[in-house]
Amino acid sequence: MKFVLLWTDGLAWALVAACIAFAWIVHRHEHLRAPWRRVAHSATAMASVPVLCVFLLIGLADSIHYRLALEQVDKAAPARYAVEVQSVLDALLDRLRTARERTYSAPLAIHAYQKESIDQADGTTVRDYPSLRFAGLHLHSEGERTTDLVVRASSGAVIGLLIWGVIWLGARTRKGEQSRQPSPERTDAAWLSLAIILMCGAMIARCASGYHVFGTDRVGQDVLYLALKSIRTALVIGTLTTFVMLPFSLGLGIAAGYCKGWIDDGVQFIYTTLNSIPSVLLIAAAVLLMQVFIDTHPDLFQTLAERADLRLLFLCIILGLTSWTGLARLLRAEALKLRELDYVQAARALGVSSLRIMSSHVARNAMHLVVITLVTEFSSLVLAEAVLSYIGVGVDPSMNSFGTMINAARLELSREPPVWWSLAAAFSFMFILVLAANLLADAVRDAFDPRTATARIAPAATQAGAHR
Amino acid sequence: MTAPLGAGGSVTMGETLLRVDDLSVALSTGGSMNVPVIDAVSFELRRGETLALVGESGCGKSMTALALMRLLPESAHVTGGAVVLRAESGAGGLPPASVADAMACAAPAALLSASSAADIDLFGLTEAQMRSVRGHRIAMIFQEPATSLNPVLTLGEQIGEVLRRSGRQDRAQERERVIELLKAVGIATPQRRIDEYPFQFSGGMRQRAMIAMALALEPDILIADEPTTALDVTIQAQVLELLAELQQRRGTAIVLITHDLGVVAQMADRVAVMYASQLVEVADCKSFFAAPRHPYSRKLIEAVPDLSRRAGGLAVIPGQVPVLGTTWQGCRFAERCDQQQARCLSAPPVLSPHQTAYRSFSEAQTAAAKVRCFYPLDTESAGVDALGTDPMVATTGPQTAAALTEPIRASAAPLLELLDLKVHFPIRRGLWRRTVGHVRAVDGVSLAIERGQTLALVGESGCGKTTVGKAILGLVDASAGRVRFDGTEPAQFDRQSLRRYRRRVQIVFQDPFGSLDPRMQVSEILKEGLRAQSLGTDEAARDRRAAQVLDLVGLPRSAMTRYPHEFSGGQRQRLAIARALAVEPSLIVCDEPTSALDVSVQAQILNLLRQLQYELGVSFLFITHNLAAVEFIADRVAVMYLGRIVEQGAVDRVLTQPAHPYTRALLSAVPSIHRPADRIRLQGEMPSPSQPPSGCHFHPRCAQAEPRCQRQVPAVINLADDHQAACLLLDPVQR
Repeated sequence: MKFVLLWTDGLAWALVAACIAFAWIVHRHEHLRAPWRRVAHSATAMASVPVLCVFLLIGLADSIHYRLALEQVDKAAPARYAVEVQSVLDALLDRLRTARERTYSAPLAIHAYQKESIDQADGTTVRDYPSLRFAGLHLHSEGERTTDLVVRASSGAVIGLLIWGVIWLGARTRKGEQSRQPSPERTDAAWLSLAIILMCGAMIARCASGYHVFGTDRVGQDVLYLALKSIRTALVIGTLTTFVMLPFSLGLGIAAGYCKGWIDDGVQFIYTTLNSIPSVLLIAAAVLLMQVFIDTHPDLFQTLAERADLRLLFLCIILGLTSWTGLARLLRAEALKLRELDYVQAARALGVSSLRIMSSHVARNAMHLVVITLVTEFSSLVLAEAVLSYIGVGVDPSMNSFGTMINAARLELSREPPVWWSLAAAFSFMFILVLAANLLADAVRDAFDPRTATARIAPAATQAGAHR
Repeated sequence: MTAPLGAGGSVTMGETLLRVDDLSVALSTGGSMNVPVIDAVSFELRRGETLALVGESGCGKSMTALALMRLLPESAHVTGGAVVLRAESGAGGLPPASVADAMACAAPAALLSASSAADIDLFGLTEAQMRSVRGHRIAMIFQEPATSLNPVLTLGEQIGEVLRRSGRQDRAQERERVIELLKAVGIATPQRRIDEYPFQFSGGMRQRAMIAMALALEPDILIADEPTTALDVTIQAQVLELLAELQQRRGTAIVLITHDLGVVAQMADRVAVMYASQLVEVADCKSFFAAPRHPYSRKLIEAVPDLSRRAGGLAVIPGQVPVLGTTWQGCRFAERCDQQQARCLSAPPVLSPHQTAYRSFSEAQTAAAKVRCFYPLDTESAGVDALGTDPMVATTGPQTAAALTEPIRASAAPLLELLDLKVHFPIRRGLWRRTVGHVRAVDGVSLAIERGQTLALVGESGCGKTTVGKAILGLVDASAGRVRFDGTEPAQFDRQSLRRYRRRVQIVFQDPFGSLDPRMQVSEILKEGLRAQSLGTDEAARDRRAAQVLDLVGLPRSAMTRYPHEFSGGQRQRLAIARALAVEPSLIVCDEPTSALDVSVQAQILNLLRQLQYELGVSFLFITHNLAAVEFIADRVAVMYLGRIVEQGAVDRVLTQPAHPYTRALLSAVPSIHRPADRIRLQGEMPSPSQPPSGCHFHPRCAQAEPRCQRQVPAVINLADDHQAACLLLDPVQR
C-alpha cells in the first residue's frame, strides 16, 4: 500500500491543522475564549455542530488516499500498485462501492426500475422487472421486504441510541460533578442532535447492508455512496475557494477603503473590469486551458485521480479569483466608514502605523461582514459547481460531486416515470450541510458582536449605553 | 379650523388638562423578568403651563413621554396607573365628525362623546381612537430633527399628510394652511420652501418644521423630548423662543423633557425631577432653583459648571445612574447621597408635600411642592444664588480662584502656536475631479497655548473648531499657515519625527461610544500607543504603565481585561483620557469631551481634567460649544465663527466683557440658571463655509453691521492686556 497525497488533500489537512492551532490559542486565552463560549449559548448552533462534525469527518476520511499494492508475481521486481486511488472512506464503504447494479433502481427496491427481457431456465424469455444483484438477497419472498425493513430500521434505531447512551455516559462520568450545575451552554441541543444523527446513521447503515437506501443511478452505482463521496468535493470547493478569495478581498478591499486616493482608484478599476467580464466565460476559458494542459502533459500524472484533483484545485483557484470582488466591495465601503471613526483617528493620533490600523482596527471591525459573506459564499459556491458541471467546465467527470448528481438529474427527471432519487439525495445532503453552516455562522456572528453579546446576557445593563 | 395660530386670544391657565396617576411601565426582557422603567409616576399638567421633566439619561423621562402618547416600544408595556385627558372644551371642534362618530360607535358613549365633559382615560382607548388623540390633542416633537423627517418627501407633503387625516380639505386649502403653519414657526419664504426636501433645511429649520407639524392640528398638549439638544446655542435660543411664543398665543401646555437645567430655568413653570424611574421632586420652577428640596436636585444644580465655581471642584454625585433592573430596599438615591441616614437604606420614602421655610416665596408657590425624601433640605442651595443676581459679583473674585488652581508655569515661549492656519478642503466635481471651489473650514486662525494652561475654543457646530484640533494633530493637512509646537514645526516632519510628535500631542473625542474600538480589551487600547511609540522596555512595563493611567483617571485595575461596551459613558470618557495620557503628552486636544454626557458625569470629567492638569502640568485645548464648561475649566478662551477667531483673551475678560457682537450674542443665548434671560437675538444661521460672506464673516447676522463690514476683513485689535477681538466697530482709528 502506498499513500498518495493529492493537492487538495494537503491543503485540506493544512487547513485542519491551522484550525486546531487557532483553537489551541483561543483555548489558552480567557478573553478569546469568552465569545466562543457565547456561541454555545445558542441552541441552534450547538445542534448544528454535531451535523457539521459528521460532514467534516466524512470529508476528511475521504481525504486520505492510497493505492493498494498489487499481488507480486515476481518477488524481485519493484512493488507495483493499483491504478485506482482509494480513500479511507472507500474502504469503509466497500460494500456500497462494489455493489453495482446494471442500471436504475428505486430506493430500497429489490427489483430494477425498468422491465427487461429475462431469459429463463426453460429457454423462454419473459419481460419483467429483474431482481437486483445486491439488494434483498437474503429475502425468501417478496412479501418479507416490509417486515425486514421495519426490523432493520428499528434495530438500527436501537443500536444508534445505545451508541449515544455509551458516549453520553462516558462524557458524564468524565465531567463529574461540575456538569450537575446548570450552565447557559446548550449542550442539551448538541446531545439531542447527536442522538438523531446516530439513530438516522445506524438506521441507514442497517438498511444499506441489504438494500440501496437511495437507489442506484444510471450505471447502477449506489446513490448513497455517490452522495457521501460528493461531500468532500463540496467541502473542498466551499472552503478552499473562500481561502483563495479571502486575501484578495481583505487586502484590496480594506486598502482601497482606508488609503483612498490612487490605491482606491486602482482597486476599483480592477474589480469593475473583472465584474464586467461574464464570470462563467472566464471560468470556462480558464478551465479549458487547464484541461488542455492536463491532456498534453499526461506524463505528469500517475493516476486518473491526480488529474481530477488538479482540475478541482484549479477550479477552486479560478472561482476564488472571480468571486472576491463582492466581498472586496463590501469591505471597501466598511473601511471608508471605519476610517472616519474616532477610534481610528485616535490610533492615528497615537502614531500607530497604517498597516497596523488596517489590521487591528479596520479588519477586526469588519469581520462580521467576512463571516456572513463566507457562509453565503459557501453555499453559492457549492451551487456554482453544479452550474459549471452543467456546461461541462466543472469538476472532472470522474469525480463525484453534488453538481454532477444534479446535472444528471436533469435527464432523469424528464424520463417517464421520473428518476427522482439522485436529485433528492443530493438536495437533502446539500440542504443539511448548508443549513447547519448557516445556523452556526449566525450564532458566531452574534457572539462576536460585542453589543448583541451583552444584550443577551444582561438586557438591562446595556440600557444605559443605548439611550441615545 | 383654518384660523391662524394664536387667534384664540384668551388663555385660561390653571385648568387641569392631563392627569397622570401612578403610571408604571415595565420592560420585558425576553424571559419572565419585567424590569420597571417607570415606577408610579404621578403629575398633572395645566392648560398653558410648561412642565419640565428633568433627569439624567436612563431615568425614564423619555419613556414617560412615549407612554403618554401610547407609543411605547414593543418590549415595554404599561403595568399600572392611568393617564386621564380632560375632555375637549368644545371650542376647538376637534376631532372631526367622522372620526368622532367612529369613536362613539366603538367605545362606550360616555367615554368620548364630544359634548360630554367626561374625561378620557388614554389607556382605555382602542388604537384607532388613540390615533385621533395623537396630533389632535397631544403632539410630540423629538430630539433629532435630522431623522424625524422623511428625506424623500417634501415638507409640504409631510405636513399636509397630518392635515389630510382630519379630512374635509381640498389641496389648495391644505397648501394654504401648511404655508401658514410654516410662517407661524418662523420659516422665511414659506411659499417656496414648502416644496423643498428636508435635506435643503438646516437643523434648526428642520426642528421648526417638526414643530409646525406637531402644531398642525392645534393640540392642547405638546410633548417636547429634548427638542434643542441637537442644536447650537443660538439656534436653541431661537427654537425655545418660538415654543414660548406659540405657547403664549395658543395656550398649549408643554411637557418639556430635558437634561439641561439652563433650558429648564428659562422655559419651565414647574419642574419634575426623575431619578431611577421615580419622581423625586415636583416643584415650582423658581423655588426649585432657589431651594431644591431633594438632595439629588441640589446636586444636579450644583454640578452645572460655572465661573463662580472655579475655586473648588464641581459638585459631584458619586457613582453613576443605577442601571435598570436594580432592586432597592430603601431610597433609590441613598447610595449616592451624602446626607444618607440609616432610615434611608431600610424604607423607601414616598412623594409627599413639603413646605419650604425659604422666606422669599409665597405660600402658593411652595404649596404644590412635593419631595420624595425623609430629610428634605430646608435651606437655600449653598452654591446657587437666587435668580437674577450676577454671579460675577457674587464670586470671591477670579484672581484668588486662579491663584488656587494654577500650576507653576514656565515663562518661556508658548507650547503651541498657530500662525494664520488655514485648512481648505477642495470641492471636486465632474469627470476629471476638477477643483471647483473650497470649503474654508479654517480660514486664518492664530492661537497660542501656554504650558500647563487650558485654552477653550468656542463656537457653533460647523465653525471649524474640530478641524483646528485635527490640524494640530496632523490628522488633516493645513493648506497654509504654520503650526509651531515647542519650537518645532510638525509640517516639516518626516514620518519618524511625526510619530514622535504625536507622542506629545493627544486627543480625546466627543463621543465616548465611538472613540474606543469595541473589539479591543481595555489593556490593548491603553497599550496601543505605547507599542506604536515603542515606549516601555517590555510587555510587563507597558502593563504597569496602563495600570498607572487607570489609577490616574480613577478606574479600577480590574478594567484591564474588559471590553469598552461594559462601561458607562463617563467611564469610557475616562478610558479615552487614559489612552491619551498613556504616552505622556504635553498637550491634549479635548474635542467636546463632555457634551455627550449627563450633567453629573460631566462634572466628574471636568473635575478630572482640572486635577490632571494640576498634577501633570499638561495643557489642554478644550474645544466646546458649552460655555458653562468653559467658564469652569479654561484659562483663556477663543471664540470662533466660520473659520476665523473673532475674539480671544483671558476667560474672565472675554466672558464678562465680551467685545465682539457675536461673542455677546453667543453668551446671551446660553440658557443659564443664574443669569436672567436678556437675549441678543441672532437671526438666521451660520452660512456655509464653502461660500463665506465677504468682509467680516459675521456681518449678515450682525445687528450692528455697517456697510464697510461687507467689504473689509476686520483686523485683530488689542483691547486689553490679554484680550483681542476682530471687529471693525471696535477699531478706534476707523471710528
